[in-house]
Amino acid sequence: MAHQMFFFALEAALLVVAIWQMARLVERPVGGARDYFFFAAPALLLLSFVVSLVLSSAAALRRARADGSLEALMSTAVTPTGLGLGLAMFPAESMLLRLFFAYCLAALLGVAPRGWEVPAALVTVILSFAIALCVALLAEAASLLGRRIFAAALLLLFCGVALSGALFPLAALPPAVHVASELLPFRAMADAMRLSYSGAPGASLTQSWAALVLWLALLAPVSWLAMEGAFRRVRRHGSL
Amino acid sequence: MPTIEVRGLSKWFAAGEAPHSDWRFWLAGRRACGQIPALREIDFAVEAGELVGVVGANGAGKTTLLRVLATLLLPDAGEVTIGGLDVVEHAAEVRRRIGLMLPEDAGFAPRLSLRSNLEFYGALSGRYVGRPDIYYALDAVGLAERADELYAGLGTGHRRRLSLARALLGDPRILLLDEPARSVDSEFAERIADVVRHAAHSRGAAVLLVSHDRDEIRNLCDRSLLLHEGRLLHATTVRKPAAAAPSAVGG
Repeated sequence: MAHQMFFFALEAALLVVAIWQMARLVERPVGGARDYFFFAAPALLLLSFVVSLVLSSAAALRRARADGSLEALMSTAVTPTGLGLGLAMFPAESMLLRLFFAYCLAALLGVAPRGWEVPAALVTVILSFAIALCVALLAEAASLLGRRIFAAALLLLFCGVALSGALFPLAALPPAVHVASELLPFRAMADAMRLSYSGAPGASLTQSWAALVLWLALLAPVSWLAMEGAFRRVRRHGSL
Repeated sequence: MPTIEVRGLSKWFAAGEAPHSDWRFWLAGRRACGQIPALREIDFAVEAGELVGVVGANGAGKTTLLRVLATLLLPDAGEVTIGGLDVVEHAAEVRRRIGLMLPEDAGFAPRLSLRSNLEFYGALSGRYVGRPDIYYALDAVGLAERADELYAGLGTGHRRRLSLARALLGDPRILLLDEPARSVDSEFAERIADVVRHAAHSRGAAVLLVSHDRDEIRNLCDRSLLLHEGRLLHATTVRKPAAAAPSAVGG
């Protein structure tokens, strides 16, 4: 357990340092790194952990399916969605720990949010975490349905993260990119985290939270249906 | 009403892969085409307290039958009820009532103790499983003294024992056992026989035991079903159920 904690802390530290270095490279002509760091770091940290959760839970399901554990677990009273959430909870736990370590490091560097920004960031993390669990369920369902569907889902995930505006301001890009980014939940996550971190006006943050709640309301039933449908299909085909 | 009732059960599996020219191949990878029957219009019933063996050669459909009963596979035709509940409509409720031993000893966490592994499955089983139930199950398979050892340290035969202990958790009303005596020594094979007889004849569970070993089925079961290429050829009464079998099971 102790060495696992050490690796989580190390991973979070490496990510913060990598973003800091990236900020220096981007802003070298202007001369300062802080502006870009504050723009990119909160959203990028959150999204990198969300992607890590989604990939890890899909990998856990594939591993369980390959070694027969999935069949053993499905012979219990647990539902497919319950099983999917259970498989996602292990990476979810480590995701929250990594975020905590990243916050501690940011506090040490004097760049962590203080005051009311802390509960605001917590609300954003909780909403994003719930959405990430739904996306993880969708990824697990896709991995059950076949390699190509899973590959398409991964492509969509990475496009969504790229279009979230975590790395660069979307205002500079064509309107079609704006529309595409609105169609995926990652932009709402990135905006909410950035606004929470920087202590931006309340109305914008409330709007971002409302978008996250709407995404959650949409994704929760969709991911439930996807898991139930995927398990029904593998039970029909005998490929559990 | 029989505890397990199977009427007209049929199941088909994919025979091959779709050609690359099929659009479904590109969408979902290897898509199946053609079907081969795994089970064909199977009918039988098992009463509470009855110990029934399913015997047949490799590929006869024994494991498929067991998996349909355990809700791990959906039937393509026919009706299967467990304790009066349809296995398709009430799959979760059916799983609460059954104890299942699969041929693979999978699903255990290697870095947890035997007791913790069973506690985990007890929590998921949907039945009440307390600490005495866990020790009862471990004692029944001769692993009570090793309860705190890690699963990783167990040999193949002992892993098999733990799989049986998992199936016994919470005293299920229905026991489905797939090749329980595979990879175990003769002493433990005898112990399995005692445990299974005790579950059926003393505790009133309906037990369905799958094996390719006819002698094992003949010695152990009240009745046997012979499967051949997915068809139920005949059902044989091996011997009358004992009124109350002497038990080697503790607790």
